[in-house]
Amino acid sequence: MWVLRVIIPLLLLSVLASNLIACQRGQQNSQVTVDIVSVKPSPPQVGAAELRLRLRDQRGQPIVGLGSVEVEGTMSHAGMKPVIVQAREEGDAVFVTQGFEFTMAGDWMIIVRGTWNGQAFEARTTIPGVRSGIQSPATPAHDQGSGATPTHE
Amino acid sequence: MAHRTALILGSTRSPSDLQHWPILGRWLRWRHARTSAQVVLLILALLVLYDGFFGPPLAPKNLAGVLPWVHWRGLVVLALLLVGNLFCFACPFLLPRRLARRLFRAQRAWPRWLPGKWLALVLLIVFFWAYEAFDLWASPLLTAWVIITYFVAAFLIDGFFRGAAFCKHVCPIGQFNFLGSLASPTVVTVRDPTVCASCVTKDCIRGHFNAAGKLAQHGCELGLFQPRKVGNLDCTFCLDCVHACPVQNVTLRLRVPLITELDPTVNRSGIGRLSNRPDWMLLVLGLTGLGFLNAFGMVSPVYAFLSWLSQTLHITSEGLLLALVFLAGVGLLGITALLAGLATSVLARARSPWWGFRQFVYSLAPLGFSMWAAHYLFHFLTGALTVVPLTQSFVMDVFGHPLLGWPAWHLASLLPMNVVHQFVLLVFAAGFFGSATWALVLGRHLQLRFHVVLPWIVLQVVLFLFGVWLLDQPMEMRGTLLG
Repeated sequence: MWVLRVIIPLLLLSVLASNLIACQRGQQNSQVTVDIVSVKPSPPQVGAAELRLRLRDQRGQPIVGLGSVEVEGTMSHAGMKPVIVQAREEGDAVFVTQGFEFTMAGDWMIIVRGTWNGQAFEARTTIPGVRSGIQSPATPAHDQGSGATPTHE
Repeated sequence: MAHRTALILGSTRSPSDLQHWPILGRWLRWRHARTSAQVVLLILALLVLYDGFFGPPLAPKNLAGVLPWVHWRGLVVLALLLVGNLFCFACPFLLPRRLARRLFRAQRAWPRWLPGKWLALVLLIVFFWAYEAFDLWASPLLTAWVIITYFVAAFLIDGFFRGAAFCKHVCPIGQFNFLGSLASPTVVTVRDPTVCASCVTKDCIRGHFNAAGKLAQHGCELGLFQPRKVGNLDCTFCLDCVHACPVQNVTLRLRVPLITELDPTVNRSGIGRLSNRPDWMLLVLGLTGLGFLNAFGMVSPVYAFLSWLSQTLHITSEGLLLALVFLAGVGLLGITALLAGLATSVLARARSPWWGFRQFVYSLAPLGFSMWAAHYLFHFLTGALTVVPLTQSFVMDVFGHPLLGWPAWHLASLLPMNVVHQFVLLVFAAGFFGSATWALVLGRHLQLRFHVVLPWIVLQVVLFLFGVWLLDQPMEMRGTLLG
């Protein structure tokens, strides 16, 4: 039984440590959030695409005056080359990507990086269910709207 | 005696004997060869655990999202195809086992009510279901917990039960490796059977005892007695038998893959006759079916299929849907294989209707493994280089400086996508060739006419065509199934 007395505290310590220290590396800056305004084409499919993104601060106010930000598209499964492009500001805190491309069908994560108030930030959102161009059966959730059904972290 | 001396001196050299190869041979003869390999993987496992618990939650940005699911899986199948069961050999989960043995001095036998591979089979199915249901590949934290669970399970089980109970009866990865190693070009085997015939100590299985009567080297803890060991099943390539043999009559040797594995009626040491082992039969069927299902989960049509199934059955629980698909998929393969076996039994006028199934079901193993290999190699070949920017990023975050340079995120694929596609098709075709050859050679060995074996060839062709269709589908990197 002494074994259990050693192992169980070790496990509890691991859980505690993972909760306390988790995500120190690569943690997004929670001061900035990103919304998907639109995705062209809609619904999103493999190939060239244009993402319109809106950045907001903690109070939900649009962030303006950044000029451009870096936008990275990556996927839920590791091992794919990320798509990294610039997005220029078009007014009303909307940023438009240039040269973005969905290289594979599936769920995409969009990471926006930039500098605001002198501090680097990273904000994330997702674009689920990017379809391959040759077929269009959608999952039930994707049928419910004409847009990209973005979810926000 | 002269023969033994010759073996010790290594005068019976053969190019197929890996212990006679320069550098490699010397390392294999080193008693701590396995430990050194295990330490390397242990360090990698600790890095994965660290990043899994404390790193970014995005799988592509985390060592726990990349190393296990892209590199480890790809290298496992590559090693099995090109060398042998290297990842059981270098398994880091067994290092804590040594500690457990010192602490507990396990004397208990594995329970008789849990014989063979039944528990491992259940765990295998549960693991692959959990992999899909909880998107393990997309969660570094869950991946880290899976690894922790593995370490704890190996520690507890081998601390409680004597022998290599975890490897033989529990480890799902091990069972995958055992079946994959059927196609491996190496085998741990005896150099000269006549030497074993005159052996009285049987150190290769009982262990080697020193002059003081103390155990100096374990023998095979999976119960494989070298003179009667057949092929690679249940062999972890631990090399205990190699180091235990006092006359160095056990070695790692090159071989023609599959050839010695074909006959299920051969009495294998530690296993018995495969034709009498329903657990092994179901393991082959399960791994083959899961291989196709796992690949099916990566292509676009699965979304349409699951959507249709969800609406038809009015089920919105993804876990339940996946469980149904798993049961239906493996069940369908099982029923088809039973029908093929029944047809073979009838055509061969066998006494038992099960005869054909028991003889030929193992011929599906190469095809099933090649489906896994094609799938895992796809991920590896298209994503192997992602470890470079990831390591750069890891070092930069941990040390605060880009000591290895700024992350080169443009690095990903080892080969162009079209070449990868052709390559994985070739691997899959090789598996089909292996399965068809297995059935035909076994049929010839059993003196059966071609039409008796035909049901199995037809089943293999159908599976092969389904697999080719799967591999031709657009891939999807999914994290959600029902939106």
